[in-house]
Amino acid sequence: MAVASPENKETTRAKGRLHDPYLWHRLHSASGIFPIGFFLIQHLIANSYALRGAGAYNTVIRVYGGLPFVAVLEVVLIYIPILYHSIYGIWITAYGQSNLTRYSYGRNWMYFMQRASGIIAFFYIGYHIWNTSLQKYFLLWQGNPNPEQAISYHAMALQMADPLHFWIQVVGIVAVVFHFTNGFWNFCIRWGLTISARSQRLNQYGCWGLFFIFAGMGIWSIVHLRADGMRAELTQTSSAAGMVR
Amino acid sequence: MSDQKTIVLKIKRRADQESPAYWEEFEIPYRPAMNVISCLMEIRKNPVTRDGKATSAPVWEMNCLENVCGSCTMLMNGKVGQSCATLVDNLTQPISLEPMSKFPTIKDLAVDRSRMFANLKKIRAWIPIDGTYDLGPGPRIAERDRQEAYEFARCMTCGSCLEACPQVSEHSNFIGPAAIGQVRLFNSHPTGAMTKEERLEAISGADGVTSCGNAQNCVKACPKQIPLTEAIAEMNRDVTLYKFKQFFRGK
Repeated sequence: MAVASPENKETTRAKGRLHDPYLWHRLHSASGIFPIGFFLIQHLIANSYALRGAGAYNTVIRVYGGLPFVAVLEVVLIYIPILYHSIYGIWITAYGQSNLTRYSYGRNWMYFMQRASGIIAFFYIGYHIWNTSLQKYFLLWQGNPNPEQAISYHAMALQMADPLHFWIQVVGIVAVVFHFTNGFWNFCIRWGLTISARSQRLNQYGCWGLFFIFAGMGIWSIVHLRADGMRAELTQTSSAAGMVR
Repeated sequence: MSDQKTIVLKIKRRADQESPAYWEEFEIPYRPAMNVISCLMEIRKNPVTRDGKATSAPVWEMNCLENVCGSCTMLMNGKVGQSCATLVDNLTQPISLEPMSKFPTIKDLAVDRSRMFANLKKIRAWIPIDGTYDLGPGPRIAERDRQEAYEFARCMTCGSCLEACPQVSEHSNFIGPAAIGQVRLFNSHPTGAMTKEERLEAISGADGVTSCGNAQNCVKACPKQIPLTEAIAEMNRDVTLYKFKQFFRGK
């Protein structure tokens, strides 16, 4: 009568360290904080120099662009961790089975949102990397004399003037920052830092605080860029109109 | 009959895991303070569907009838719970009854929870006290530890936490919150702690504590209010420390 009990097929004894699922899962969790989370905070702070105007913003771009071994740093600290974190994250998402309709608890919503924001972030980051970093190398490869033009204050401001681009940025920033701050809450449990229900609850408030700070910072920067970009577009069109006349 | 209050129940039926499922509706007279099991017993007396068709009596499991054995766990109006302790007055009608979805169906509402018991064996949910000679008395347990342990000792392996968990599905063999809570219980016992590495090792695989997605449905679904999420966080810490120790110190 008894249905065959699915005894765990997997032996948990690690088949050598590299096959240890625990290691890979921890690496996914850790990489979300370092280097990806650290980079995100640094990135949002650096971008907020837009609020100080074109001079400050372009200086920051020059400083980061001129870092020694910048391509190595980009690949090792940014591209590889993000690629690993995304692919492993998509795999985790595929194995879950969201049940919000039956159990619509707050944390269950967060479980769903963590996965949804991760998927949105994945596509947004792809778009964002093309738009900023890769395009520079593309222009360089095409023999453009001034490849840096792709990522100057002026270029960013003009891009933000396009409402579609601007709203993609807003959605992207909100998704990425949410994924990071809620991910930090998950991280604290996954590494056993917040064990009691009370500490987990308080940490949740803290993470929401971080969310509003960082998302606000990012959105404020792009709103500023957009305002400048629209002004620049206006002067361009009016001067063009002047020439016609 | 028309002015008499009745209870309408929709029961999801199935001959076994491989057979197709179908719903049957029943209507029984209302009596005050009825629970779901008393409805099922009423149906069993005269298994005729609402539209007058004679059918077989629905099959379900029950044992203690006082919410301590866990065998009557099923989905009532889509939510997991113990049918012996769920009052009809607290449910909106028609009341739908389904077997738990995360376990193979034996028949109708009865499911096979062998997987949970296999997992208890896997995590060595016992305290080894047998030897070839008298091992003497074990260490004393601090009262505070005993009280904490008692919360986890109330687990009745009912399966509610696995049923509510989005990480437990046919694609994953996550052992689930209940077993992780039992690792916490036996590792906190002074004699059990002597073999704690074996239990930590058992939950350190892909099906272990790392598969938790922190949806925290388990702690809400648990009929015994066991602090499962705290146990998961603590076992996360302990398994990580164990892994570090194993790597750097070897053994």
